[in-house]
Formats: sequence, C-alpha cells, structure tokens
Amino acid sequence: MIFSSLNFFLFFSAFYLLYLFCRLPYQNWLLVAGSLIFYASFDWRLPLLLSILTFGTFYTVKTIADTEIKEEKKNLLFLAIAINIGTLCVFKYFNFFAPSFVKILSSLNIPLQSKALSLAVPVGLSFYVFQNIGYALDIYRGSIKPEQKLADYFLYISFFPKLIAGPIERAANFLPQVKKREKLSSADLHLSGFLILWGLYQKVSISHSLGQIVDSSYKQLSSLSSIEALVCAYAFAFQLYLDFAGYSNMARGISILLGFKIMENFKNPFFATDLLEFWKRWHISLTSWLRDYIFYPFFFNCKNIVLASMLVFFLNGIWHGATLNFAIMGLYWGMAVSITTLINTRKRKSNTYSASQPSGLKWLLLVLFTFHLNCIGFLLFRSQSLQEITSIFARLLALDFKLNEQLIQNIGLMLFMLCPLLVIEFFQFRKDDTACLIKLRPFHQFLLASFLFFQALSAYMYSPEPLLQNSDRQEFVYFRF
Amino acid sequence: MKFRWKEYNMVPSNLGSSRMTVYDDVAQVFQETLKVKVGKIALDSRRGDLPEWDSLGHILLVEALGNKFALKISADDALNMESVADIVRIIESRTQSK
Repeated sequence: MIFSSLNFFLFFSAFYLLYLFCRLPYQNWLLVAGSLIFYASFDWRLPLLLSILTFGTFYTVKTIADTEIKEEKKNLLFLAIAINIGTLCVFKYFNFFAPSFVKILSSLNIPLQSKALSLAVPVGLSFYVFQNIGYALDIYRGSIKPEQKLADYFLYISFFPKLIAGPIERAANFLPQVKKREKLSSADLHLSGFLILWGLYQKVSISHSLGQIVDSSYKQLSSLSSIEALVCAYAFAFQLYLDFAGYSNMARGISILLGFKIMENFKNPFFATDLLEFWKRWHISLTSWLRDYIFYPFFFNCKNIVLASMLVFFLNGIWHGATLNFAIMGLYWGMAVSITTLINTRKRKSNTYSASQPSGLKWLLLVLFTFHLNCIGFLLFRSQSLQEITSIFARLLALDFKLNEQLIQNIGLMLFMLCPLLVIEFFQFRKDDTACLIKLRPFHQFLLASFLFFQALSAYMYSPEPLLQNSDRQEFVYFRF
Repeated sequence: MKFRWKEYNMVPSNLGSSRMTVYDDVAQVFQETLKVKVGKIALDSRRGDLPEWDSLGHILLVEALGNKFALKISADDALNMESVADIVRIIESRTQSK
C-alpha cells in the first residue's frame, strides 16, 4: 500500500474519518492499529518483526536509564545495538553469504538448494532500526529522558507515514508530539495539501516517467551512444531524487494532517555548490543520523577526518546492499567528500571561505560540477554489476554523439518535465523554504495547484501503474533499503 | 527574535563573572574560527542556527576551543556541545576540574 495508490487513498480516508472523531489517548491507539494494518499490507509477518525489535529495544534502553553502573550501561547499550544491527545484517547480508554456506554444507554431504536459503529484506526495516539505535544512544548519552510508556514508544517507531522509508525521526522531536496534539490550523491544512500534491507531482508525474527512460537504457547498455548514456545518467539522478523526495513530502503532508510535524528530508539538493552542501540537503534524516551517531564519535576519537568520512560513506554504501556497486559507490563518495572536506578546511583556515552562496556564473558552474559528480555516484547506485558499471562508463567516455528519434523524444520529454520543476525548485532554493509556494498570492497559488494537479492526473491517466500497483516500477526506490 | 545581550552590554542574571569571561573567550573562538561576528552569537545559539556552524565548522570549533582553553575535549563533550550555552557549561566544568 503506497501513498500514491488508490488502496492507500481508501485506507487513509476511512482511517482519518475515525481519527477525527477520537481524542487522546484513543487517537494514539488508533494510530498504532492503523500503522500495524498499513505495515501488514506489505506482508502479514512484518508487524511481528517490528514489535519484537521495538519491545526489545524499549526494555533494554529502560534498563540503561535505570542502572547507575557505567560498565553495565555500556553492556546494555551494546545489547540494544546488537539486537537491531544483528537483525538488519541477517536480512541484508544473508543472501550474500548463503551460497558459501550451501557450499560448506554440500562439502559435508548435506545437500541444500541456495534458493531455499534466500531472505527478502523486510520493507522499512533499516528505518526503524536506525530510530531504535538513535534512541538507545540518546538515552546512554543522557541527551533525552527515557520514555516510560511502551505504547508511546511503539507509536514513535511504527507511525505509518514514516514507517517504511523515513524520515528517520529523532525521539526528542517526535515523542513530545505523542503526548500532546496541536489543533490542526488552516495554515497546517494548507501546508499539508501542498506537500501531498507536490510529492505526488514529483513521484507520479516525473519520477515514474524518468524511470521508464532509465530502465529502457539499461536494457541496451552496450549499444547506447554517449549522449544516450548521459541522458540516462541525468534521468536516473532526477528519478531517484524525485522518487524519494516525493515520498518524503507526502509523508510530511500526511503527518501534518494527523497532527505531527516530522523533519524535512530533502532541500533542493541539486542546487548545492559542493558535495558537503549536497549531503546537507540530500536525505537529511539519514545523513544527520550518520553524522551524529557514527561520524562524530569516530572522528572525535581518531581525529582523522578522511578516515571518518571514508568510514561513514562506505557504511552508507554497504547499507544499501552487499553488492559490489554499493561498495564502490560508498568508496567513491567517501573519497569525493574527503577531498571536498580537505579543500574546505584549508579555505576556512586561510580566511577564504564564505558561508554565503557564490553569485552568477560561478554559482552555476559549481552547481553543474557538483551535479555531475553526483551523477557518477548515482550511476554506481543504479548499476547492478561490475559489467553494468563498466558498460555505462565506457559508453559515456566513448565520444559517440549519434542521435536517433527515440533519444530526441526522450530529451524533449525530460525538458518538458524538468523545466517547470527546476523553476519551482529554484524559487524554493532562493527563499530557502520548500513551503514558500503557499505564501504566493492566492491566484498564483491556484494556477500552480491546478498545474500540479493536472500534471499528476494526466500521469495517472497516461500510465495508471502507480495507482493500480501492478508493476515493479510503481514502488518507491528506497522501499527495498 | 533572539536576545543578544552582548549587543546591549547587559549580563544575564544567571551568568556570573567567571562565566562571562568564558563566554567572551568562546565568542572570540567563534569569531576567529567560524568568522561569525560576535553580535550574531547568542547564548542560546544552537548548531545549525548559524550557517557557519555546520559539521565541518563544529570540528574546527572543537579543535580551536581545545587550543584556546588548553583542554583535551573528549568525544562525549564534543558531541554534547549543541549550543553556545552547552559549550560555556562544558568548558567551565572542565577548566574547574583541571
């Protein structure tokens, strides 16, 4: 049941009607029940896994807070992290190690099909594992007080708008909202409507169509011209961004309707002028999580910024999966970010650094340069084998500029879809506010809303896959992580 | 709007004179390391409030604070420096326990 589907619309309409008639604490109980039903719609066994990890973390962390002995606190923290990371690793990397395991068993004359040992990664597992670990570390460090009510903690972890693909919400921000619900104001309603429509436009109108260009390019990698490979790289960069940002915006919009304010996950990342700024704008909830819980502790102990950056980005890479492309992607981004960090450190120490944006042509050139650096990383993300990686980069560097009818059509389609998006995003970027569009004059807002609505509607009519959920492409890319 | 007591030459009642000195030194480190004007820094300024105080800025700031106060700032302390007030509190307690 994905946000852009008819099933979710029907589920949420019925749920919200009930929700509006309830008051606290019944609203919270309803939210927990709704979240379990929502999660079970992907697989009935998933709520069980979610419950085991949440209960396990809650009680372990409660004991951390209750004990005074430092050594015991440390051991319990280790236990809480091990429960969560262990579960994540089993599901993420079991398939990677299963063939070796089968080989060992067959050498011992125990025949076993490797298929029988394959495990699918449960939808959203990483996101609630990260929230559990973040909570345990916050309690251990004493940054927040432990939650006393299991039901409230369970709601924090299972809250359905953010359950399957984040944002990775911090307990300090979410738990107070569980206790007290603000009344929905007309400004909230306005913002929520905008975010849902904006997210639908990003996901359904654009990302879905770009996905079709990318998929068809990857099916004929060896015969692509350099321009086709470049168009494929651009298309995938925007597909991935709009897919995930669209989902995150819808999640925020739905949360506001339910009386919760969750964090912004993307802030016009393609207008970043260097990689450090890009990672402050891209998947903010994950990058800030990695910064606070892995990068800082590691850096302040080892004092080596290159090593700390490499570690974080390598972990980020293999978190996506135990495949070569993700490991190479992690190393690539680690190196690129380390170099940028060293340059910026030098600039800051030599008084040539400015936190304000450069202007004019310099800004544009830096934005384009950063975007192309990121496209390399995105291609590593998209390619599923070493062969695909070498093929796409070989085609890019082949200097073969042949044009064909399909390519011209794809370029036209991309310009048609991305030009309005980039104009709107540039406006948001300049105002430093994604929601600045709701501050436009009513007539301009009406025009914009009509544009977004009809774009989304025509995309549904042209290709009803996202609505009907009958193909793989309707799914959000980050569901599998 | 944040109340910037430095601009009004007023000392908040909860800040003693020793804390005031620590604050002045911390503000100076902010100015020298992050190139932030002293007037822009308030006791309740938090990480992320100032564009200069980003993750790289925080690393440089912690290093500079260690040099300024001749302290070895631990990883836990560096992580707990979420606001200017946190920094003043941590520096004060570490210099007292030296």
